[in-house]
Amino acid sequence: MNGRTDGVQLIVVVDDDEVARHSIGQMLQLRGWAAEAFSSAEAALAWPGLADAACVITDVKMPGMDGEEFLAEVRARPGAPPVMMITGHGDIAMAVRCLKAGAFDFVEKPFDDDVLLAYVAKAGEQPRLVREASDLRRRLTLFSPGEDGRFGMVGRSRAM
Amino acid sequence: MAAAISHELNQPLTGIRNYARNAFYMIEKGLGGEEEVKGNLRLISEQVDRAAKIINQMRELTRRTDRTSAGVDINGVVRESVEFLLPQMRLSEVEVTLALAPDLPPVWGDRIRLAQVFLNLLTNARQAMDCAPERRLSIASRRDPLADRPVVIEVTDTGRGFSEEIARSLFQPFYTTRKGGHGLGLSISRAIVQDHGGTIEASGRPGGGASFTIRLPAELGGSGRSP
Repeated sequence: MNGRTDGVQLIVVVDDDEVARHSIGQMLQLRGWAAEAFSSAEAALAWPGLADAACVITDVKMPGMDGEEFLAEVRARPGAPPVMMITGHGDIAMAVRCLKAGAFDFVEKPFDDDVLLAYVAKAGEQPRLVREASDLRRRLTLFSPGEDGRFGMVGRSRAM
Repeated sequence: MAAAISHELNQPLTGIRNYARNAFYMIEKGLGGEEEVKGNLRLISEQVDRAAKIINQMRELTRRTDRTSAGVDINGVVRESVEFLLPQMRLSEVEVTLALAPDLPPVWGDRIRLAQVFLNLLTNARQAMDCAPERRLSIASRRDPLADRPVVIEVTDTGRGFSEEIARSLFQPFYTTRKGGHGLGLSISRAIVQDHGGTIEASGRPGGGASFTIRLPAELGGSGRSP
């Protein structure tokens, strides 16, 4: 569903560094998002609310399961939320690997808050865009002629 | 070394930047009270202390030695090198054990360059254990009173190890088994040890960990050679 009943989008933050976790959470809450922070990938995966997140922000270097493994685990779940990666400065090879593995995008530490927040806002739009695209695709099928060249159904026309 | 410094300093720098920008936003938008803004300033100050501590450790590690001094306490250099890399060792879940002989004589030498040797060896060991099921690193020093080079330090890991053929090439400049490695760490380390009149040897077997042994001469009283 990627959303909460109160309309406030939930962002999940995963970072083993307490300061990073707290400061990113504060940054999101000030802008009106709800933030839930975890000190490990394992803890975030075990949390049932993860499926409701509009976006997940994760550090790459963490003890135990690292950000790349976490990304793979999240992506394997149905209706997976977009995942933003926070990488060490200059680790472009890792960033490219993350993008190929389906990360939404990445920022390098220390990052500009405007850049991270713009990505989060964009990521939060993704579930809506996916729904719209699927709706439009469905309607396009209805409006397209079948193999016999006839339209299966013409919708949205007023009765004559 | 540069990567280690950059990683360690980036953590507090990220915190400082975030807390400062958040405080700025609170003031600009009239969010939160004075106490919350003060709270962020206090957090910023804590992160500045954290960064300063890292810088002080580095300074201690790279302090210029007085060449007329009584020599270098190798155990001290080992301890400082380990302490500097400990956050990364924890991150990589490496268990570090120190067994340092208390009766080790001082070595005549350059503290900065000797520290560089241990930082190289410890960093290599950590990287060699990246995929190892067991990650144990032990650094032991001992005194070998009858040898020409009585100060002995052994760095042993449970990493991927190497074949005899690789062991022969390890100290060659630009030889590397690691993707992205420059192949200079061990050649520089050997040059530094040799400049101090010492030797460095590597032993290991594929999948069975590696061990590096450094043997250094003791300082020869006040008239000892300088490196």
